[in-house]
Amino acid sequence: MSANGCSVMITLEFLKGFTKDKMCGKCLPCMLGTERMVDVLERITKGEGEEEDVVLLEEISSHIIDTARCKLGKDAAVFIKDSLSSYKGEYEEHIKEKHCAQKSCEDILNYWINPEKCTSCGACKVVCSEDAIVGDKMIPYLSDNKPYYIKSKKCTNCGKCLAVCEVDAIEIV
Amino acid sequence: MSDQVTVTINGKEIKVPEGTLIIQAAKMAGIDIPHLCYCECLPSTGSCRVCLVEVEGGKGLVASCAQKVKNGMVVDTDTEKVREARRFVLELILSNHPGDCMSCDKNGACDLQKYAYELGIEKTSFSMKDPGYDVDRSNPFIERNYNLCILCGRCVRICKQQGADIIDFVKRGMVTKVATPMDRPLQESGCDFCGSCLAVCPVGALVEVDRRFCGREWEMKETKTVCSYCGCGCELVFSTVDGQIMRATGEVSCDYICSKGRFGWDFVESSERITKPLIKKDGVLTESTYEEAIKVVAERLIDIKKKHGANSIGGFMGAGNTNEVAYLFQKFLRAGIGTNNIDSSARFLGFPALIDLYEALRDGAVVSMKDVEEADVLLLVNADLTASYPRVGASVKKAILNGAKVVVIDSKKTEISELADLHIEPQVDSEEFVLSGILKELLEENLHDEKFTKKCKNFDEFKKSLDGLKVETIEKETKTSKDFLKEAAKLYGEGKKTIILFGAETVSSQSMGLIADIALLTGRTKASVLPCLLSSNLRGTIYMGALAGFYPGARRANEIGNDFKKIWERDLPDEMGLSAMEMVENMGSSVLGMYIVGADPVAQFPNSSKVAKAFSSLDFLVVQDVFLTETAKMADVVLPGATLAESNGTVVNLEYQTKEVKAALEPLAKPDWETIADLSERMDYTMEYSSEKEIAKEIKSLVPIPKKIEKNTYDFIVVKPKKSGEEPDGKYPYALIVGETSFGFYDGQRTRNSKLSILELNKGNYAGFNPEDAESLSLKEGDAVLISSRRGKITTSVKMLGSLPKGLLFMPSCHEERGVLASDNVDSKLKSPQHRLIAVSVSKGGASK
Repeated sequence: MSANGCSVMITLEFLKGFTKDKMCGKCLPCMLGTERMVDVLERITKGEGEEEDVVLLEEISSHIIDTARCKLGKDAAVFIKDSLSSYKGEYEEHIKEKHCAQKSCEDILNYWINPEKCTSCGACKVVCSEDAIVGDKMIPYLSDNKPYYIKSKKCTNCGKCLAVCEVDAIEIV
Repeated sequence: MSDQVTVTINGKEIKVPEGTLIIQAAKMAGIDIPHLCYCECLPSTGSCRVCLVEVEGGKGLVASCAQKVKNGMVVDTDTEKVREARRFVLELILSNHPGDCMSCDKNGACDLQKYAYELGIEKTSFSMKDPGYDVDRSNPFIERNYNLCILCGRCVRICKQQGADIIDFVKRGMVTKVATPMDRPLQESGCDFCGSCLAVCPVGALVEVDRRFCGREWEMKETKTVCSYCGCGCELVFSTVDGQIMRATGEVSCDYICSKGRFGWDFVESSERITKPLIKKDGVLTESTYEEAIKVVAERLIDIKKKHGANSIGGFMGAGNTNEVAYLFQKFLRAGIGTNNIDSSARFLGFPALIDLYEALRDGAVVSMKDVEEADVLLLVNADLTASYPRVGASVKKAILNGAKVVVIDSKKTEISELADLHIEPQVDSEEFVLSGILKELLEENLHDEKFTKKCKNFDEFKKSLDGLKVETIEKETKTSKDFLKEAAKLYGEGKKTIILFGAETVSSQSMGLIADIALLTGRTKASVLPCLLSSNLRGTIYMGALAGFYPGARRANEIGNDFKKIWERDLPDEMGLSAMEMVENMGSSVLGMYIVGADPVAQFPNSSKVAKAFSSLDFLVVQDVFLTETAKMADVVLPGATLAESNGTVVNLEYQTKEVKAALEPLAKPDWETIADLSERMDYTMEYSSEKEIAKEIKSLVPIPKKIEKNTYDFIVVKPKKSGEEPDGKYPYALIVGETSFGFYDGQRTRNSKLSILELNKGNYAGFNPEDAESLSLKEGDAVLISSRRGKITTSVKMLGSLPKGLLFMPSCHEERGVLASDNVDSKLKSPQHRLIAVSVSKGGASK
């Protein structure tokens, strides 16, 4: 599954789909448990995950497998459990490094200006509505202009700068 | 008996019947498996997953409320794996349960709290979530806080099983909620406020409003007694704190208790109660002492007796007192005063026609609620069960869920008729023809029990009289096709366990005979006819002899010989005694003094303006009652009465079971029997009883508990059907019937003084109209309307009732002026008024009340 995207995000989407579609809400562990797992996964994709979260997910899913009434609920929990064991690294990357290698989890993406590509044209600074980009425009014959860079604290990942950069110097990491 | 299987639970071997659920088997072995959604009386859904257990050799955990035992099964209910799973589920539930146990009324009785404690859960490890629903406090009975709901679904299932079936789960997943259609408040959704949901809720989501913040679960004192409303005589448990009733419940949480039983007890605490004796001085009732009041009553009664003889005094009592009070009252009149002029409300509620029915059928007319629930065909005649005798209604609903077929004969629609397989809606007052028609069809279809009928002596005579009745006549009188009657006969005749239910006060004595005939014709002589009785101690009142013409033991006055003379140590009067209507007839001439206990003849008797006139012509009237009734207002002396909730004694319910009444409260007045005994003492007839137990002992020695008498020969009751009510004519074109409503009861004295009255339009003072009739009279809901009959007229408000057929009007029996219109035409044999049908005219307007 990781071939096409981030396992954490795929699991979250799957679970959200399950609660909206298949889940009947008749047996309590499945109904309440999946909702809790959605909470935890959402936390992780936002970069707010904590180290115990993987254990928590493992616990909830194995409990649901034990206690849920029907196969639908159990299957959903099996899906989560498989994902946790197969792609443990990805979960940990999200939690510890706050980084999504597949660039699916928008909340923990960072925009970065590659100084080697940047021509210091200043177009990105003009469009940034959050004043997250700082730097000086290149003036011929002067060499002490500050290079452009993005203050990640202010950046909202809106993507406007990405669109105006003619040399693709702005990268997502 | 079904086969037994052996299972081992926690190492304990036990034999249980095949088909037992694991949770039930464990209970038999004395092991309590924690559970939230499971309830003994309800079908299992296996949704809470708290009752999971480990079964050896099984795959994973098993919900013990959904799995039946198998032979050789080995079950473990308390392993680490099971506990871990339970802890998980409970923690999840707790994280969605934002209540504070500190101020929750269920604290101490909450299952969730109990199991969390048992499993040592201090705090949920999941983050708390608050559903954020508004708490429904819009009715004064049930507070609904769905934030605390754990979605176990017990309330949904019990509402379907014995309630009005109005709540269900709405939405899905995390936003699932229990709600009424369109999530409207209960009082706007057709809820019948039986409160069954309250009783089964394992948490604090549903709580009685009365007990909110009034007392803790562990402070409650429980008293098991009997409900004081209808004849079902349900066992009630009153929970009291500091002498105040907190709630009324059944003995087991899922026992059915109707709205009147569960919430209608508050009349006991009404400020309108009479607590001190009142004596009329210069035309005004003034407070006095027992001493003085009893003295006045004794002197006046002695005076009347001296001047005009004992037979110028009469007594009348309601049918809602204990056996002991009924016995003592008639003993006081018969032996103490020396008159047989004693009668009771029972006369108006089906007796003594019922005595004939019992004699004709014996065991056949003794039916328990369990019998009803197990029946496969039920035939209902003129019985609005859910309104008049709700407990029977609940049993019928249960029977329907069990697959029973129901045939209803009623001119108007009722809650049960909507669920019935066949609803025959005959012309009003033509039930006798319908029943005769069914008898004819039973014979024609050869559904009668020939072996049995051969044993009956008068079968030929009976058959001849039926043959004399033409089908065309039946069709003409009932305005019902004979195909319906044929279908009814087929359904009834082919049933295996059939029961005929009828309202004792709503069918004529003739109909009762025909009903007995239907049971006899098909040879059903065991538990086959259930007369539904309206008053809590109708049977007991009769059995204690508080009815003109009958002595204790329901023995006819002319057949008693010297039996009572010896024990009562007095000569007994020779006259048969006057019945209630005869006493009214003779008031002012030969009847001059009356003693009334727990009844309101002036408002209740038919043609009440005439009755009021008769009562005002009395020399002396003493009334002993709980409230200042219309009769009490006319009295010379009023003695305070006690309610059943404050009395000790016994009553007999419609299942023929004697039930014990126990005082749950300190009485506001002297017990009724004590007042009667004090009065008797003053009149030189000593009644020395230290408690009601001694009275009960005397009763027992006098009238032994009736043994089951095996009856070998049965006789048919030959009846010529006729219409007994007033026929509507040109001047009075509408027919009016008086009947029970869901939230009113009998004379309305109690329900009017209870908060139940808010559920009835105008506290029950209305007349129901078919919408088409209302339209033709250009009447709207709530309009003032003038209704007049040959006896009098009343102004009341209009209520639309789609359940009524065209041309029929309905008046709740709790209507304050119901007696004004009714006919006092008395059946010569039964001496009870035939006031089922009243011809009336209707005109718009009149001064609205």
